[in-house]
Amino acid sequence: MATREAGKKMIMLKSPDGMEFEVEEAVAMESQTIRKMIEDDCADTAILIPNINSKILSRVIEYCNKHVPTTGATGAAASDTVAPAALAEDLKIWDAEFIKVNRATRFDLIQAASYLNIKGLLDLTSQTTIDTISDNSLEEIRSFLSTKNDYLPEEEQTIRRENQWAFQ
Amino acid sequence: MEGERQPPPAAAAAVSKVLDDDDLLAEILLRVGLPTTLVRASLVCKRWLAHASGRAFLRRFRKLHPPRLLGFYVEGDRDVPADPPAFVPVLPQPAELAAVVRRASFSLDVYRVLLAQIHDCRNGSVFVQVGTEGRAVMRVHTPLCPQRRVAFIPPLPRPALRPRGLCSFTQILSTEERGGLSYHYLYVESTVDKPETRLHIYVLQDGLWLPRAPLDMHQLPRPLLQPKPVLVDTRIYMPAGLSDIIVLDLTASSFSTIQLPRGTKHDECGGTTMLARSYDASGVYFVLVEEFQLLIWLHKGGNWSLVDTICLREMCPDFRTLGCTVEDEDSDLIIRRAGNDAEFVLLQMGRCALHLDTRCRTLRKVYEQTEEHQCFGDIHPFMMIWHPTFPALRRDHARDAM
Repeated sequence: MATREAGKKMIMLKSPDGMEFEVEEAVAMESQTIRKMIEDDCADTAILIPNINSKILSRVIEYCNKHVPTTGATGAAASDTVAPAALAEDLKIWDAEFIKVNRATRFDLIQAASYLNIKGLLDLTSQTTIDTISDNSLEEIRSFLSTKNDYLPEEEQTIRRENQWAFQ
Repeated sequence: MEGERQPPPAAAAAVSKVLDDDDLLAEILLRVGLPTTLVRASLVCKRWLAHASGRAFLRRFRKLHPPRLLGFYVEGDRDVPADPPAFVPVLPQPAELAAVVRRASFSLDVYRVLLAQIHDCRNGSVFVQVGTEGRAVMRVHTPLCPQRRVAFIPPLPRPALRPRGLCSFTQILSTEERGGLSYHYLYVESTVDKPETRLHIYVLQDGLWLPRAPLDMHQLPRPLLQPKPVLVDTRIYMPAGLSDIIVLDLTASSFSTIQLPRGTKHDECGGTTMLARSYDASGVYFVLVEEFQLLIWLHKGGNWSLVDTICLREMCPDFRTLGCTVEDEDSDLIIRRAGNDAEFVLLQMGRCALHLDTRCRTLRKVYEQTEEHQCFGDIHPFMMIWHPTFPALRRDHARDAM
């Protein structure tokens, strides 16, 4: 299924709901999971990505497209002419826009980033959850993340006592 | 960034798909970054605790987020009672650590009229000697845990020396152990006429210094006068001779020697060489500063390998941008301390102390000698505590599996 377009090797990704996405191999290889499949030669036809619906997969591809390192003359953005710091800043702004999604989408993206092993995307998508843990009281964390407290008061007290340095 | 809100049912399903997945929960907890946040996360529920306290998880966490340097104690003139060690915070720190830094700033001012000297500073515990030789008392402070009682330690023992035996140096050596720190006291005896050095070693156990049988260093090179030995797991590494390291295996009570990397030697007077511990007890590091170049070797499995070369000039073409003066810049760089795994190195340049983070490749000035502190004494890095203490709870079966 691999086709060539302007000298770039293309690859087909299929979502379980039947959508097909043709992407550059370099873009798809932002995912370590897909990279391994390609390197192990398990991917000469279309690759089926299980558990990730087309809506989420298209967002993941969008992310990879933006984050794939541009290479020389074939690169979409001529990275040679842009200072690395400016490029990083541009990516940061882009990421901040990208992650403005509703919570269900964000958690779906976490799952996809983990399955596809895309470290940058996992870092980005889990950051809000990490902020929730960092910035809120325990009750709030539990409520925001739908988790139930199963500690006995004295058990909680023991952990607090042993790690007094971690509390204000 | 948008915060989390009480999730609607559709989102709740997506949330639990992620957080109920053990691997994903671990990935998220790994990214909380600070040990303080990890402790808070462990209080969410027992399943989170099981993840946060898993040994493999803690190893990964530490590797991703090495303990931060919170500050250091600078000792003044040891002979001046009015000059107790002062805490110098390394700023800025994340807002979550504000309380921690405030606690670390506990001052040894309570000892103002007495002489106070820091012997050791590791993992949140500060081993202090108060009072003059012969009448000194030893205490271990845990400034980050103000409710914990200060531990009183018996006076440092004095071994019976051989005729004409002299004390050439002493050192408290500490190492992380399950459930806390273990302390050793090393007393090196040399004699005037015979070159043989004798080591006296005591282990602090249940509030007592227990002596081990003295060890004579037959036909081994002489330790340096100020060797700054390190204790790694059960081995003491002590610089000796021109380019040797004497290794004392405390379990077998036996000596061996290793040669420094080819072409290097100890700098007995200049302070440009130092050993550093490896955190995982696998070996020992040798750090050398030459002009503006810092070289780091690791001795592991019988061989040295050069693990890092850092050119400080490349990192910082002009030290005046760090706040150093021309005179400072003209002084030689001296290594004052090296962290576990040489993760950081505290350097002295003239009147300034510089903190070099070898992982993040950052260099900054963290201290400058002041008019009132004319004497730039020993400096003791004070690190963030690692790792948290997670008590075993009932119904905690998942924990050992991770």
